[in-house]
Amino acid sequence: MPEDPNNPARMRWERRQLRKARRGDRRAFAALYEAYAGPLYSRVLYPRLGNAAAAEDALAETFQALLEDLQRFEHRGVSIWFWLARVARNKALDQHRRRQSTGRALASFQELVTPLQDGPENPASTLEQGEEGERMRRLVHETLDRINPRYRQVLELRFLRGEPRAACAAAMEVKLGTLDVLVLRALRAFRKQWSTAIAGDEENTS
Amino acid sequence: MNEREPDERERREAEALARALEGDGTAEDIPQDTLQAAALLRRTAGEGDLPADRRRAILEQIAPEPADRPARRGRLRWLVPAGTAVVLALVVAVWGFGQLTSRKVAPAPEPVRLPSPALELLASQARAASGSSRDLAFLGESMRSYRRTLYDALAERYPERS
Repeated sequence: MPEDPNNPARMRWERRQLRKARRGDRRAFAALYEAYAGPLYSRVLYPRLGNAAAAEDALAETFQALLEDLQRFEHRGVSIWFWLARVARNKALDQHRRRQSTGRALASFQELVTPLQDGPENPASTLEQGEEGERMRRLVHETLDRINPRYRQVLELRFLRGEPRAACAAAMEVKLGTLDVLVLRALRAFRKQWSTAIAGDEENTS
Repeated sequence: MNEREPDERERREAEALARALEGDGTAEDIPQDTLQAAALLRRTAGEGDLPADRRRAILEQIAPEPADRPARRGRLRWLVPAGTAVVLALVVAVWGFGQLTSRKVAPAPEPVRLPSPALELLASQARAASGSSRDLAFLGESMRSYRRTLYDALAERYPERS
């Protein structure tokens, strides 16, 4: 993907794919999907939903909307990315509204990562995404370094290594109920330190 | 580190969070701030990237790979025997037309060349016309011989059909 979604060559490519897709060329639609599904998922949907299944559903709904609007869709000289990102944000909101009926635990952590992004409206190049991801990982580890070691240990076990609840309880040598409280407190401590880490990083980079 | 005892509210929140982290979001009092932090940590661990197999599965769900390719092959399968039949029919038609045309334009077969009578036979016929009986016997013999030669030539040119 080019650095700039409004790159003229990119726009011409998009227009061509849209024209073909309107004529029923599935490969053209698939090409648009392949170009934007990944960034939409990782930069727009997952941060707003915090849940893989919900983000996948919203992604499917977003491209379903494109498919349905294909004949009416007009390329107005800006990348289709912006239209897709807007629809995706609406679909994420729908998922939040449906949370009770679907029973999914949803959590938007968009506000936590917004300072790291150059704007959710930008699909970003692979390089930029890589840099952004690297910055986020570095800040997460810096934040973990600043909290109580026991909190850090439980967060690493549960979220970075993805250990099941029972395995974490065994590793921490506590009962399940105690582990739940430990996780709750550790996440709150992390959350508190995260803001400090972000602020410090922004000062360093500016 | 000595953990202080959680109060009732904190215990409820911890239970709701534990359920939410397992995917159950139906509880009323899920502490969203902690759920957000958990999602951020999971994102760091790579959960927020769409795996290639899931990406393909979603595309397949939205715009299924047209089953029309095999179906089209199935639909067009009749073309093979039909095409063969048409080609064969054309070959037969062209061949038949060629046959007819060739009959029309072929040169007429040459007439059989009948053997010429020998000079003695002609002379004998001339003498018979003048009234000599001895010449008549010779003429009969010469004519039989000539007729055999004539019939042989005809039989060779127009053989009998079996």
